[in-house]
Amino acid sequence: MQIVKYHVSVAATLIRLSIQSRLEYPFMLIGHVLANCVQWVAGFAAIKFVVDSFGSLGGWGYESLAFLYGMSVLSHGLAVILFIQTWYMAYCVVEGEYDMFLLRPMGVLFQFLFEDFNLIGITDMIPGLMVFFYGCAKVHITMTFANISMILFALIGGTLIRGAVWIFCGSLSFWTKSTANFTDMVGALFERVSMYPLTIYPKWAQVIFTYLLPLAWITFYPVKGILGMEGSVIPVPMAAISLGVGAVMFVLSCGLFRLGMHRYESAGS
Amino acid sequence: MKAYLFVTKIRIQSALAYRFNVISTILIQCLLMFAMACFWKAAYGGTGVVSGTGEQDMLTYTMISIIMGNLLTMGVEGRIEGSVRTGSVALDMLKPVNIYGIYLAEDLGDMAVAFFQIAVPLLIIGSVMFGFPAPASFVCFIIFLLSFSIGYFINWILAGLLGMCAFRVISMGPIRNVKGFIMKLLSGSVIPLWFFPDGFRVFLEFLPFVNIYQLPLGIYIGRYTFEEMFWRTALQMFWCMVLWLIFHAAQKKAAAAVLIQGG
Amino acid sequence: MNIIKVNHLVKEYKKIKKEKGLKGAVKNLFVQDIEYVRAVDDISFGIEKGDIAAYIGPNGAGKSTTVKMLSGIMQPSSGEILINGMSPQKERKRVVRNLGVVFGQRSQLNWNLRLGETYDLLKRIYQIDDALYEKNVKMLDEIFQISEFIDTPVRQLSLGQRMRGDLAAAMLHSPEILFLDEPTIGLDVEAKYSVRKFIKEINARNKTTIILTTHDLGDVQELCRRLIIINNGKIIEDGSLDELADRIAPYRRLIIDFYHPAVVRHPKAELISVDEARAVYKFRKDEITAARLIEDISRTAPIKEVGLQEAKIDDIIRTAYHAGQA
Repeated sequence: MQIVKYHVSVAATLIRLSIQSRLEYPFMLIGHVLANCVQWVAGFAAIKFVVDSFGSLGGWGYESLAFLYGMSVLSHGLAVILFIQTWYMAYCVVEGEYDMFLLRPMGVLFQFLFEDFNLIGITDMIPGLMVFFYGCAKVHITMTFANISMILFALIGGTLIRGAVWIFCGSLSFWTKSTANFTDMVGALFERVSMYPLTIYPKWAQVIFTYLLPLAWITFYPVKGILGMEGSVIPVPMAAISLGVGAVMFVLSCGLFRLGMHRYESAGS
Repeated sequence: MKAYLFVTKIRIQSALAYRFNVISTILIQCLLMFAMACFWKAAYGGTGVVSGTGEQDMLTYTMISIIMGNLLTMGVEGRIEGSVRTGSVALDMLKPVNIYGIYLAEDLGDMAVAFFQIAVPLLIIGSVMFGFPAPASFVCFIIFLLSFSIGYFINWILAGLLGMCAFRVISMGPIRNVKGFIMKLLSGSVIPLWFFPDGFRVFLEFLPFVNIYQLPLGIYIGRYTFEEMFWRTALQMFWCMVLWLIFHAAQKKAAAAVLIQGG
Repeated sequence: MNIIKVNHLVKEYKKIKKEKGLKGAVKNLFVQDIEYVRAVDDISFGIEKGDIAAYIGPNGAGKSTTVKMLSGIMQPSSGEILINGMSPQKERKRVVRNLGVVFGQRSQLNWNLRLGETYDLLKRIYQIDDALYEKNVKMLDEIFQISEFIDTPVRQLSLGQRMRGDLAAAMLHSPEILFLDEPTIGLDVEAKYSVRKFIKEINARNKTTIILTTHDLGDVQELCRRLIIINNGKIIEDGSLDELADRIAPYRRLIIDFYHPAVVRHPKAELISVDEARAVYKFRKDEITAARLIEDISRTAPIKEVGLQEAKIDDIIRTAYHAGQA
């Protein structure tokens, strides 16, 4: 109990400090609101144009695509708020930034995870919510308790999967010692797998994204479940599975981070 | 000229040192290419021709577009911004060469590296996966090269202009992002404008962005008649010149600003 | 009782050799030559509680590597470190709880926020209770006047203020041991003075054991009872500054101004220069005292003025570095 209280107090302070830091540069916030609105609205417009020309995409109509897109932007926004520090892991390794954490009597992973709570991420949530509610209206989803909890499960699961992949990629730099930054590339991959239906890919790719690199659980399966598009074989809601997949991946990626940290200590910088 | 060539050579050398980056870039770009190809295949779903372009042409368009994306990476905006932030901009002005010439030489060096390290492997892998993305004809290919070169300069000048905004607005992150997305959408690099609603499309075709991706790519897949090619390339050259004049004026103004503020 | 104990410490690095030129760059894509470098090569020493020890050496001698291993940031390749009887690698959290570390080239302060915010965070991380926190802040303010800038954003602090802020941050949890890696680097005279004053006072008040690495020999002269010199990863000298001076440069110079130009020789001192009425002698402390020498000389010619020069610390250290390299 004492330990939990201790960690909560440190985490709360870290979060407060990062919010204060971000607020030191209010213009950044405004710039990002603009940038993100342009990005997501434009991205959505492009999908709309294509669907208008072709009728449907991988068997998905425009309405379901809008809902899928909204869910994807929301989990992206949440991941950016919580895990943006993972984008700079390569830099931190090369520059020896983890030294500071090692000098403090607290878990390195814990300090790292709460170090940078990114207020700017809410700027992704604004267009995200816009498209999401638009999508909700288009698919006529009723906000029952069951649906809301499924949506929340799916969002948490999707956020955890994204965070896990970022931590995983960032941790690789413990071994490569290179400043190579995968953020853009991973971002592109997330976009392709979470904003378009998985059905546009060939069977073998669907298998990969379902089991091997389970990115399809970020939005595709849970949205399918929520929209009731197809009865699943197992009696568990897709969104709940998505949450489980996220949790497992997150724990695994934290394990890799810990392994990398050992290497960091033995190599120095 | 020798100084610029040397810069290009140094650039090639340092890029080769990042073996790891190269392999991962190729891998991810292949994935992107694959994803985009699947996207179009799914959209077409067997239907013949939509908005004047068939499925195979669209695959070619996508493959070449992704390869072009890797050749059109611009370091100039980041470098101008960086030199403003660190204050080395004043030192750059003292060098006996045109600093923008140096930046262009660096970017061309990067492109040369990207051609061999990324474009060629991507072309090979893409051909294996989806068939060789052949140009519509030999003539089309030659005009494509010309159009690509002009597009390269348009893109470079736009990036340079944006970099110069750093002389005024200090933090550029979001502005650069906006530019990236606008480019992605308006240049037709991901989705050609002919799938857009008509009014919007006509408006966009008069902006400079289409000249970077869509025009060369459209020429490559043989979408345009010779007459159209002629007019569109002429418009492209016009844009290139206009932008160059703006760039030239902005550069003078920026230099004057540095001299007055002392960097 | 040694509060810090280091036995046969070794740190070996893998280093990839890169070849030069365009050809080399292409070659490096395929083959890499790996070379092993010993940054720290079999080092042993112990530090008593309450000591101030200077750990000095030329650039790249292995100073920072040692400090990093001592503070648990880095794993040694072999050898043993005991701090308060515990290994900083095996029991990192327990060891660092009693440790303050400051790297002069790096700051742990939150760049964007007022200095006090970082202290608030550290208070929670180290679980410092309110009473102790108040007491420590008060003490640090007495030595350092941190209250002058505790409400200023760190990015607006001068280098000297920032260093004071970092030193204070490292002392908030009243550690028994303090590692300072080049704490005076880049500071002006005033700021250096205040950092030295801090080190002395902390040591005097709290019996804090301090290891500092530095290139500023003024730091060593003013602060340190103990001097460890390292070069090429090996300890080449370990002892007090006086001992070292006696051994490496046992000479002193005596400068005498006579009333009239004179050449006076002495069997136990070397006359190294004569300029009008001024003569300079070099002698060994263990052979003759300065008083005796002056007395002997004044018998021959009347003396107006005398000056005595110790061997310069710079010269001593340089001699030690060179001796170590040979």
